[in-house]
Parts: sequence; structure tokens; C-alpha cells
Amino acid sequence: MPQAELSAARVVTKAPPWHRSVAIDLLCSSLAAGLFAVAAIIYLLGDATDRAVAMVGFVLAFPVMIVDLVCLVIDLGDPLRFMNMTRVIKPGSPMSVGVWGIVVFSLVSFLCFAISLVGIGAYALPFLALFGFPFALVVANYKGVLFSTTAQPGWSSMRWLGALISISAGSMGVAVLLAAAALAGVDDPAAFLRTALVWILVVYAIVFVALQREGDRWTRAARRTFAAGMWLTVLVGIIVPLAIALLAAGPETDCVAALCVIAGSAAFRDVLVKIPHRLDAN
Amino acid sequence: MANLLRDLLYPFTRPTPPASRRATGFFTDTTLCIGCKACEVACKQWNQLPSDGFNFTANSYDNTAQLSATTWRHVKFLEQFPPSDSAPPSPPDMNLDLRSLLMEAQNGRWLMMSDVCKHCSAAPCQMACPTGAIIHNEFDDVYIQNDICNGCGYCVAACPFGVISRSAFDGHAHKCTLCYDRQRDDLMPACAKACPTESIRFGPLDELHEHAVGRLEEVKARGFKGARLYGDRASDTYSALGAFFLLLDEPSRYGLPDDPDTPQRHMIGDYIRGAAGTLIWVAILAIAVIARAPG
Ligand code: SF4
Ligand code: SF4
Ligand code: SF4
Repeated sequence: MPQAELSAARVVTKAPPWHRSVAIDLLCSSLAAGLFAVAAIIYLLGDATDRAVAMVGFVLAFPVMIVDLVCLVIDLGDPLRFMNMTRVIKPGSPMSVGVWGIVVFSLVSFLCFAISLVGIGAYALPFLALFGFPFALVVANYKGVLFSTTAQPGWSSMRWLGALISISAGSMGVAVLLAAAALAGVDDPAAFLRTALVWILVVYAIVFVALQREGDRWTRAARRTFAAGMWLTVLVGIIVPLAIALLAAGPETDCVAALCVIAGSAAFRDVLVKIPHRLDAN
Repeated sequence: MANLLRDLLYPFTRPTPPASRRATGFFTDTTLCIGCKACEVACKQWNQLPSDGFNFTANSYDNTAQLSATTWRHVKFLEQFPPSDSAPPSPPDMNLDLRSLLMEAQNGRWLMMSDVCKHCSAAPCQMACPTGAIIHNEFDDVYIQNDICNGCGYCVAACPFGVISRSAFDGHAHKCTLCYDRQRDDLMPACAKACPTESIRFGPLDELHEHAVGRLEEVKARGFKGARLYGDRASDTYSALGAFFLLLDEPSRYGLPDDPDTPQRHMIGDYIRGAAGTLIWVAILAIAVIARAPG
């Protein structure tokens, strides 16, 4: 190809310096937010048995969030300046919105974690769950929008990415608490969590297909390049847990389903972070 | 301890911003560029930027390859010659004159362009920056406050022109400052000062626009039908550029996006779709909790 034609076909943008730790951060923030939001819904709408399951969610959400915070900080070029993120509130920057969401969510999820673990001050839990719920949803949502509102090939045309990341957060939260309920032998919450998981995975699949149908030449190139990762997401993250939830309910299989949902979500996030780097290199 | 406290609190102080001055920028007339790279050198020298090495890029006379945290001006060389496997060139036409040599694209030509940060008037990098490190300064140029940046890299992802990158040296984002320090002392930016052909013209934006329109007419009148201004005015999807260009061919031939898009244009819609997805899974779970068989 003549050199001038070549420059017309190249990716113009520069891939951001985001690698594996960003994929882990993406997974952990979704998992923590999903666990907390699911736990909050169950705690606020359920009965005493449900609340016991919800508290498992509160106990798990905060440590996962800690891993996320560590990844967030080490991703920075100058980690000691992490606090500079709180100099300004910029509604026009999804990263700024997300940071503020994370700050509040981390505090609330710490309090819920401590109360659930120690059992002191349990009267505050419903208020904290209610207060923390919208912030958990912000954390579940913002990362998808953060990626889609960049100029990066592949990301910039994924209009449904925010929805997909949020639904995947919800599916992880439900799957993990389903496994916890099944392991604890509490059938009632396990039954409604299983029903919820089935429907959420169906919606996940629909939005995933919508995401595959949209996009420009770069998105199509990304789909070709990462076909294996995309299929892994669908097979391991959606089809297998769906089949388990429909056909083979039980403590062990529910645990396998939860692991599959998390593994599928991890595979998708790994692919997502790599897209601009790989297209740039091509 | 006192130092640590000062370092932690310093970014939160808010000095009074300087009063606005007349907006300045660059008009880069690529038809005048001779590829001497004096601008690249002057920029590195003034800003004390390290060399990127004399690398063989296999891309014409280019050895810096791209704009980066240490290269804030980059001269692009675009060779427009027939492919090597096409028919061999016809014997030289002894009637060729300088004019046809320079203007006839079928004989092959080099396009050269000194690339730089576009200092977008609504800059996606500035909108994205979560620390407020990127600002429009008093000259309305896009400036990274290096003492605030924490190297999150979001500006790198947001720039549609691939200008900013994060330095491995200090972990912060860097790009052309439009010689803010020199402008404050009423000096011309180093690159424009060094440019021997005035391909890089610096000045108040309104004057540059006026000059650019006249220059485009002149170039077109000389037979360059494909000549066009790039970034001189806002499009439906992107703001006007504070550093705009006169090009002889499609922007994409120069490695510029033909129709740059402001990523943040899609933000509200993306949030709404995200919220819709969230609402659906939350509703599914809430219904499952409420509607399950009692007891
Ligand atoms: S060209 Fe890129 S780095 Fe320069 S102002 Fe525009 S968005 Fe920012
Ligand atoms: S890397 Fe620095 S300048 Fe760029 S968005 Fe992050 S804080 Fe702002
Ligand atoms: S204006 Fe200054 S910083 Fe920008 S490219 Fe020219 S010399 Fe470099």
C-alpha cells in the first residue's frame, strides 16, 4: 500500500496506558458494587432469612472494593497524587463522577461491612443500605460510560457498554449471593435469587448481542481480533450459568455458576481493555 | 511531615487565575513546510525535552514517528508516489518546468506537515481530566498543570488526535504548552520562531483566520484543487481548533481524523442506556424478592 494510503488506514488515537490492573479494577468495582446493590435490595425488601444472606453481600463487598482501590491507585502514573482526583467535581467527566461515587460507596460499604461482621449498630444497616444503594449503582455504571466516551477505536462506538457493565455487575452480585444462600441451605432466598439470575442473564445476553451489532469498522475489527474472548464471555459467563440455574440447581452447581459468571465478566473486561492496544498495534 | 502536609494540601489551593488575554494559536500552512524539523528541535531545546533517539522507522524521513510526552512537535512526511509494482515511470519529459514538478501529483509528491496539539476550543482532554489539571489558560490555549496531574491517562484516551501521552519518566501527561512561558513574556513560541518558511504561523486567532482564508484562495488559484483548511471552524461534531492547518489532501492522508468527534457528545445518551440497563436488573431482582412464594 502506498505510504499515504497507509496513514489513512491507521488508528489516529493513542491507546491509554491502561493494562491488566485496569481490567482487574473494572472487575472488582463491578463485583463490589453488584454485591452491595443486590444485598441492599434483598435487605430492604426481604425477610429475616433474606437479611442474613444480604449481610454476606455486605461482608464481601468491602474487601473486594479494597482490591479495586489498590488497583485504581497503582494504575496512576503518580499514585501519591491519588487525592488530586478529589480537587474538583466534574459532572462532564465520567472518571470524576466515578471517583466521587467510589469515595462515598467505599465509606458506606465499610460501615455495612463492619456492622455485618461485628453485629453492633445493626439498627443503622437499613439506612446505610438505602443510602449506599444509589452510589453502588453509580459505581456499577460509570466505568462503561468512562470507556465509551473516549476517542478510542472500538470503545467509542459501544453505546451500550454502560448498560452491559452494569448488568454484568448485577449478575455477579446475584450469582455470588445465590451460591452463598445455597451453601447455607436457605432454600427460599436461593430460589428467588436463581429466578432473578436466569432473567438477568437473559437481559445480559440481549444487551451483549446489541453491543455486537453496533459500531464502526474498528468495532468490527475488534470483534474479529477478540472473537475467542467474546465467545468465552458468552459461553462461560452466560450460557453455562444459565443452563446450571435452569437445569441443575444445588449448592455445588450454584457455586460453579457463580464462578462462571465472574470468569465470563473477567474475560470480557480483559478483552475490553486490550482493544485499543491491539488495534493500534495492527 | 510539614512538607508532606504541604504537598498534600497544595493541589487544593485556588490561586486567582490571570485575566483573560486575546486568544492565540497556530496556523500551520503545510504547503510551505520543507521538512527541515527546525520546529521539532526548537521545541525540544526550549522545553528541555530528551531526544527520542535516531530510530529507523522505515517511514520516509521520519525518525520521531509520533507526538509523545517527549515530542511535542512532529514533522510528518507523506510520500505520494505510484506504487512500486505499477508501470515504470515514463522517461523524463524535458519540457517539465518547476511549476509542474511541484504541482503534478501524478509525478509523485511529498506532503509535509508539522503536527502539534490542536488546542481544541472545546477540548475532550480537558473535559475528561478528573483532577482539573488540564485548563484553558488566559490565552485560551489548552494547558496541562504538571503539578496537578496524577497520570490517570484519561486525557490520552479522550484525545481524538492522539496527541497526549503519559511520560514514563514522571508518570504525568505531557503535550505542547503553546509555549505558555514564552507567551507570558511576549515571546513567540519557539517552534514558530524557528520555522524558516513561516509554515508555522503564531498569532491572535482572528488574525490567523483572516490570513488562512487568503492563503487558501492563493493556493487554490495556483491549481491545488484539493487544498482545504482543517479545523478553522467548528463542525457538527467538533469544536474549532486553536491550531489549525492548510492541507493539500484529505485529512486522513495526513493521519488526521476526517471528521473528529467529541467523545463527550455521547455521554448523556450512554448514561441513559446504562441507567436503563441498571433499572432492568434492579427491577428483576426486586420483583423476584417481592413475588416469591411467602413463607
Ligand atoms: S488535540 Fe488532543 S490534547 Fe490537544 S487540546 Fe485537543 S484533545 Fe487536547
Ligand atoms: S493524566 Fe493528568 S492531565 Fe490527563 S486526565 Fe489524568 S490527571 Fe488529567
Ligand atoms: S508552542 Fe512551544 S511547546 Fe508547543 S510545539 Fe511549539 S515550541 Fe513546542
